Amino acid sequence: MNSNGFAIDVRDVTKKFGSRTVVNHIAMQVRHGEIYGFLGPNGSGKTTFLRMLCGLLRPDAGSGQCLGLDFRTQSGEIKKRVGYMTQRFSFYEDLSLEENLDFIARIYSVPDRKSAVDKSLERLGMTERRKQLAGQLSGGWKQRLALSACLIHEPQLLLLDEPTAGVDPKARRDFWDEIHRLAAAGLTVLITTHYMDEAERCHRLAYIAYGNLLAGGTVPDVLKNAKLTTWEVTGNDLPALAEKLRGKPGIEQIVAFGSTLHVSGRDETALRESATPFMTGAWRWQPIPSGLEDVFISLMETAKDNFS
Amino acid sequence: MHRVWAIIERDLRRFRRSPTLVFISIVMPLVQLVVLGYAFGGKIKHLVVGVVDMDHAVPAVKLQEMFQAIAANADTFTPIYYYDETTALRDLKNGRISGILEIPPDFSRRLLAGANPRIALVEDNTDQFSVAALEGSLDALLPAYNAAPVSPRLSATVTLKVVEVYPYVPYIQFLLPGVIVLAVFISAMIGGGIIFIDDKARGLHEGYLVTPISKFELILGFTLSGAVKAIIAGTVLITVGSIIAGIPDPLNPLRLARMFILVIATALALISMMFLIMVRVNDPLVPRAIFGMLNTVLYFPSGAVYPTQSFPQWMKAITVVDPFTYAVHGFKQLVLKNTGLVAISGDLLFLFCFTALAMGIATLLFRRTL
Repeated sequence: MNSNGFAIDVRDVTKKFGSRTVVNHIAMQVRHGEIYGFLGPNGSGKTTFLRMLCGLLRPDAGSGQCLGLDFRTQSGEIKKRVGYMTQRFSFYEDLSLEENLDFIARIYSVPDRKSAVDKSLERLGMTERRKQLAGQLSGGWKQRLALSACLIHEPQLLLLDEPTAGVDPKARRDFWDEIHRLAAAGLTVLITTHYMDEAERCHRLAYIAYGNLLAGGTVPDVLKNAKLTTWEVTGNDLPALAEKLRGKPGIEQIVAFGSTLHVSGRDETALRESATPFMTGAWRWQPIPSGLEDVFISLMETAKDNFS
Repeated sequence: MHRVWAIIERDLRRFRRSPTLVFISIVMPLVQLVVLGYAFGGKIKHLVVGVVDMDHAVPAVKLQEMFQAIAANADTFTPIYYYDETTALRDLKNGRISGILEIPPDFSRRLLAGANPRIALVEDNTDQFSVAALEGSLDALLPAYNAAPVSPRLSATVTLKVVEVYPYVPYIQFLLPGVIVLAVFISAMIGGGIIFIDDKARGLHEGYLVTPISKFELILGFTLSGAVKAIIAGTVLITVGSIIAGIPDPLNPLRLARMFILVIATALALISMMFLIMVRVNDPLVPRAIFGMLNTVLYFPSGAVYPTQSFPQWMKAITVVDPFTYAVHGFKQLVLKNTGLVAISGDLLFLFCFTALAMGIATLLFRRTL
């Protein structure tokens, strides 16, 4: 199958569990060497989508290719070329780092696996810890081990399912630096995350909620297409102000950000009219550019809930 | 008290949502009642006894007719006839028959001469329960044979001479084969069942399902690794267990080698059976619950603790398909009788075929996806 320059090129991908549609006709195109962020709330279908791409789940509908291979019929071949990092730490805690990596290398039939394991340990700075049991590692080191294991067979595509959940900021930063190095070397990365700062480090991203793809593109594209107007409010008793504003025409979203309030809506005129009575001395209103978080919360709240 | 109620309610909710656990906890005691009740309480029947008639005269034929009468009524034993003692003894040692009744060549002549002839019962005394049943049946038969129907014509009486083929077998030795199989089963349960389900529950299996490994490779890998652990347990039991139970010449290399082959066959059969049972199970509590159930349903009907001849028909049907039966039978032959591989060839064949079948079905049922 021709890859047309895309590492992933799928459309109408659908998955149902019983009567629930978990992934609903999703299309996705990811270029080679791109870091593609996949965002969405818990239970939105991100993990299910990733599992379908790497053959862990069978889609009910959809077509397309992953690394030039039909993602529905050639999952065996796709598995050889994909590194998948699961949401849960899926390594043996009673085996050492070296033993875990060696096991994975053997399963993938990696040639010269001793050197592959050594290289893997060295690249992620784990040579000193090679004999340490995986169960004794901190969250950050476990994440490094999982990434090393994903890379040991030199895949062309990395599928990372919330790889930085529960990891400290320093480890997250190191992790993202590594991801960018890998992408620069030609590896394609599809990563799911909840963190907005991480979303902004992706080349392109997509937002999914309740199984539906709600937005996609580069960060500026997503922000622009959302057409969201946001005002930042400072002043006293912001919770009381929020209560007064809630439900007014044009006001779709009121979110507290520290000591400020973000008030957003897509109908700029209606939003201004509703806000004008409260633009008094007690509160200071200032228009600000909408951030990804404003956009995503807005998208989520307006998305049709398939499960309700 | 609110907290206590919270715990009770939580546990009952979880229990209700696991139908397998509910089923096992309710049905298990009933199964134990029925299986254990019949496993230990029944009369021993259908023992196969070889008859070697070296006399062929009318009194000997009359004796044989009485054997047939027992087969037709009490059914404690079924006679089969041999022309020579050697063949009968070979079958006795290979476990095909439970005893030999020998009618000596001068039986009728001595009887008519009033010389109190004796018939011999050559018995496989490795199974004391069967031996007792057989002796009891013959002890009841001979007074009837000796009783005069109308008027005393014969002044002589026939007596039974019991010949034990093997040295006395205490119950601990009788139990040893079953314990060896149980040790292999426990390892099989842990290796083939609990570890696999724990991998699923901890999400570890997702890690290897996403690799290019095939279903068969996975199942074969699990089966062989579990078998190695079960073989280690079995090997300890066949050596240390034999010493503790006082088996004569316990470290005989030839016997140990034969037992090792049977340990391998048993381990493979039980591991593949466990894998087949667990292949679609996700709840980590289920294998723990199933363990007790399997123990009752497979171990007790195997003849490990009481002869299968005493079981009702439905339980005998279990023994036919139960790999424990063949493993226990094989170990009895090797441990208690020190026979060769020929005597256990049927057991080995069943266990290897069972392994292939269980692995084949498990591979078909195994889900390569989540």
